[in-house]
Amino acid sequence: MRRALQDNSLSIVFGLLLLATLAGQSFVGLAGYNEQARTDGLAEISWGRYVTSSSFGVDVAENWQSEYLQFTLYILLTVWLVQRGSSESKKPEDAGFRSAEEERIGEFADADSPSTASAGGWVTKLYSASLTLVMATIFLLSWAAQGVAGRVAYNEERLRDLLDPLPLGAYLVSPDFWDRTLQNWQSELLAVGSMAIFAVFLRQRGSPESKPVGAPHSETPG
Amino acid sequence: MRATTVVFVSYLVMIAVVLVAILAIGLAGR
Repeated sequence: MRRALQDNSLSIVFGLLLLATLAGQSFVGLAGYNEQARTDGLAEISWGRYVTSSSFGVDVAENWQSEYLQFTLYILLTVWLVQRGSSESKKPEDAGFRSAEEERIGEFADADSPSTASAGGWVTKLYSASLTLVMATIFLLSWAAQGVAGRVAYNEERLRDLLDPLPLGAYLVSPDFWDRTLQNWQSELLAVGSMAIFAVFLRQRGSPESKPVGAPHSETPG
Repeated sequence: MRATTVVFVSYLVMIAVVLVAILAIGLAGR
């Protein structure tokens, strides 16, 4: 049990931090929602009503979609794009797909390789892109959830201002939808870009995200 | 590997449940 916890501590700790921050977001989000309701002379709502509302849903989904877009792009673009000297990059000469032998797929699979890697054909093709496919699917689902829930939350504001509600198509080209989308994308792209270049010159002893402290700046661990 | 598989599946299920819930709430106009 102790060994299992230690072996999975990274995923478990991040999962617990997620649940704690999501709970925190629900309480401060409710406080903000009810403050606005009081200002507008409307009835306050309960925590249970708030966490099952589109207002809370859109706030969660807009952040999720941008995180998964970031990872989808990073996983995919680092196949071809490199940053010389960065622990986040392959060596410049290794850009592009690796050979079947290097990937240990099909006839080059090891005895303990996943069966989906040794199977060959479309199964191995699909498995070879499974990380990108799952991340991209979560991105698209989150973005769709942001659009659907965002419309309801936005229409609630419009009704308070005595404006007609927007249909989904109109909301998806509205400034509100794209403001929520782009403000999240820009911060993710900044974080990824700066991580790629900072890792050339800066170090964190002990972290797999960093080169060894004494590694030359020009060395790309790959 | 069993505990690792449990953590992996837990993440996938949690993400799917939250996203389907938000989609359902939005589509219901709640």
